[in-house]
Amino acid sequence: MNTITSSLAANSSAIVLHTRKGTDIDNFQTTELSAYDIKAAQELKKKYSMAEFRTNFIPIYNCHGMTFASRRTAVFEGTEVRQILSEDEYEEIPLQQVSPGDVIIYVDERGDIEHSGVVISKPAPPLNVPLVVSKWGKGPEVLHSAYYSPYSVSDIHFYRITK
Amino acid sequence: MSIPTEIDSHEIDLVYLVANTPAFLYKHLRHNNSVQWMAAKFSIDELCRIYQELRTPSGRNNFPVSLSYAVITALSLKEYSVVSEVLRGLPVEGLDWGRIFLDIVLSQSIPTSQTVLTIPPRSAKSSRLDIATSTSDVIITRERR
Repeated sequence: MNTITSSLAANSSAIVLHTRKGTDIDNFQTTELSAYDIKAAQELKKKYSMAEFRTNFIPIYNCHGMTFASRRTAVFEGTEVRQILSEDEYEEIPLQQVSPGDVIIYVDERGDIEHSGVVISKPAPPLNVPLVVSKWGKGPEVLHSAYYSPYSVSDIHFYRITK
Repeated sequence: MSIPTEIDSHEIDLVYLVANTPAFLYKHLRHNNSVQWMAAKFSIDELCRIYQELRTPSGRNNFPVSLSYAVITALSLKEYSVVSEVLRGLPVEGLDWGRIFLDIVLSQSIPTSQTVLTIPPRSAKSSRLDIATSTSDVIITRERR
């Protein structure tokens, strides 16, 4: 396994990660998980009781690491995600055409990408909201309604690779 | 050192746990009640002392990492011209997003506009303050990005 010491984060390492066109993607793997994190995760489960928490707390990857790096590492800058979307030739899909496997991107009011995940079920009546699997920071992977999470839902986009 | 009861460290821990990016963490800590309380309650020097204590081996063992980020954010809510050099000099070793977090804090704390209010002298004949109504007078504002 190629590992390099990350200059961006303490107590962590990075792996070689590229876009389809060969551009480096900054990332790091951290193994830090404290008793406070674990306690916070218990609070998280209570706060989002309608979601299904499918894993334990895995700090080594985050949401973008799950969506774009096969759960191997954490990608922590929204600009890197935009690079991936562009260079991997993702196309935006309207909500009406969303299907399982599509990527969901959450953008905040400043235009920063703050979360990503993978669609697991089509939007269905009456609410037309897809179900999603995503990684909540250093916490667990979660199955949840697209609009039920700690992240901004004011600007959500869906993407798919079609070529 | 103990955590004051005014600080809801659980809420801060929660934000830290679900943050996928340092930008998200800073955005939410800025609006966190406990962080705003710290910014109002403590001086810059006091916040620096708290931060230094949190970063000692004892501090790292006894307090969550998220509190260090909270103190940095509280510092960022102080007057930029005074605190910017302090922030630039903060040691961030051991914080997983330390340097990037500081870069975000510094870039988002810079005031984007500043104008000057000109108040005419009080008229000797008037018992009340004459309020300037000319459109050339403006009001001091300081906006954060």
